[in-house]
Amino acid sequence: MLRSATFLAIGLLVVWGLVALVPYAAMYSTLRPLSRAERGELASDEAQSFLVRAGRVDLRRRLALRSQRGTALPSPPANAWRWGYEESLRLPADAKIYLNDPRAAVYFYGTFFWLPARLDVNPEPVTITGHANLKRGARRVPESDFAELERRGYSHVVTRAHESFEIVDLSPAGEVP
Amino acid sequence: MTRVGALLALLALWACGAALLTLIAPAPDRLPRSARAGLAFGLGLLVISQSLFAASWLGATPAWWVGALDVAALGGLALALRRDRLADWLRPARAQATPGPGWLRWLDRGLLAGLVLVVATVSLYALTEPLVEWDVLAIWATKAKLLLFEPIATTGYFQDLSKGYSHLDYPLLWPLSLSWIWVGAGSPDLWAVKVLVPAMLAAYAASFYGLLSQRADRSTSLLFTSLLLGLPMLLSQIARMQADPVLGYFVMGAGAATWLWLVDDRRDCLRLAGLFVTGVLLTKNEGLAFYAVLLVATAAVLLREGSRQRWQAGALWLGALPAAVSSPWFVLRAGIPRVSENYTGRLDPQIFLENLHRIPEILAGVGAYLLDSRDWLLFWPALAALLVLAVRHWIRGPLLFLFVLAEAPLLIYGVIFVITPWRPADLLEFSASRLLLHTLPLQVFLAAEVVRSARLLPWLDRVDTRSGQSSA
Repeated sequence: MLRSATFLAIGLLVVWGLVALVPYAAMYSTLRPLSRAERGELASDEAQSFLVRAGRVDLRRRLALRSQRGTALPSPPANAWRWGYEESLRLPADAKIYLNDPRAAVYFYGTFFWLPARLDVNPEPVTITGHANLKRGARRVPESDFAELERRGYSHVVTRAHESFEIVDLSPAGEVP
Repeated sequence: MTRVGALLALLALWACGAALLTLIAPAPDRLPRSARAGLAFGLGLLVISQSLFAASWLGATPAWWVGALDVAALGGLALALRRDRLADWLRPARAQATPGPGWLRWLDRGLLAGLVLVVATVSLYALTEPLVEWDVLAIWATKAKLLLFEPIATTGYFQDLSKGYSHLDYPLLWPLSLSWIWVGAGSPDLWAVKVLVPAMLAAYAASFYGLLSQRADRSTSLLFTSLLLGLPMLLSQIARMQADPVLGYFVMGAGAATWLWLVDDRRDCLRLAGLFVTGVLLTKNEGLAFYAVLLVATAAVLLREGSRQRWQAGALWLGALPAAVSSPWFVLRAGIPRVSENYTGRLDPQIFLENLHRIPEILAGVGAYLLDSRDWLLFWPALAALLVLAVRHWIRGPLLFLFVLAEAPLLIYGVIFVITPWRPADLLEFSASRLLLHTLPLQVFLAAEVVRSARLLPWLDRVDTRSGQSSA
């Protein structure tokens, strides 16, 4: 009896595991026709990709609440992924970039996407260990002082533009403000 | 072309591991071919990443010649010293069939088909999706991409506090493995690097099955391998290329191989354990907790035995080898400023006592993660029920060693949650489920061994529970 029960219990878990593969198949068919940038954006959106939510009990709870209220918010990681990826195809490898509006997703993703170009949020040495001290450590530079950034070796500045970001090229051939 | 290059890099990585395995396991016919193939992947990760580390330390960025030298050196040694053993890679493993009724053979076929389905489905998806996971991009892939352009010898990264969020002191085995695939791909392509996902999935399945089948019959080994590979949390984190399942894979190899050495005196398993425990130390800082537990538990078993020869062998392979191979990394790490969290510095009895009030919150929080069926099905309650029901089968004897290896690291993590400077609820949200992955394969291995020892499956009466062979 106990043997059959053990076998049944393990067997049920195994079958349940196979059923849990269905979302992979569904996401695969969703991603397949999309462009590279669209795939990355969708796959990093916590509301759209079950993989972002894996292991995140609190995130699931908050998303469920949001869904009940019908308030769909844009996903900062998804937006930052797509924007960072697309800009990485354009930025020169020797660029030195200043992030003038410190958002964690843009800083962390931008640092990765734009390597070997360097991304800073402060021209002085500063400690950034996460979201909490990113805002404290960052220094916002007024547009009138962008020439100072150029003198310090920065070739591009990331600024906020409406709901997204834009990159200002500080080089003489670029879009000098 | 990018993906072909990535596949060639993966093949070179596996070839390094296969050559090393041929050298260190003089009786590979005792390990099934599946286990050899799966374990070779882990040894390849270790060899390639450490060669790239050495080259980077000397001022070279990752390049194809580093892996080519590894393949040539290890392949040449295997050819020169173990030529007779190379043919074992083509020979089928010893018969593992479970004696029993016909339906058992159908069960085996069904389980095998299920495993193929899991690996194929998750791989297909993972290869369609680029690298997107927050932690992977911000930590592991950032290190991997940076080291492609700047060698350890000259980079300012390890002192750059503005990149402290990427955890400057996290080990480099996984990042350098990513770098190697990118070398093969010709560029840091976000899709090509994901060829590591099918390889990791297959290595998990093959290694776990192979190690378990050293003592268990084929049906039991397949059943528990299917259970492990069906757990959504494990699959999701492998698909996303997190470092936690990589650590879990090395912990599985180190723990299971040490156990096989202790119970069956398998010297090939001891050598394997030594190399896998080195992988544990070089994958994530949490590996230090597992290593400490492994050393203490192994020493306790050996003390009881009093065999001087086994002490010496254990000290060499589990002590000296991992220390020697990982020491360059720990020398580098000693000079890296700790800016994120310094848990060693907070291991103070006073801090622990001051934070004791957190324990109920931590237990309730952990419970919510363990019981979330979307991540774990009902694995953890089932494991707890099994351990309670079959307590007399593991509380004394060799299975207690496996229990300690699987559970003690989680207890250490529990202490970390008590002393952490962060709010425990925040830390749990980002790390609880991923930390559980570190010993997950060992938990399933323990469950399988308890079930086998207590003969809790219908066919186990027909099988000798020590060797996995028919008692008839």
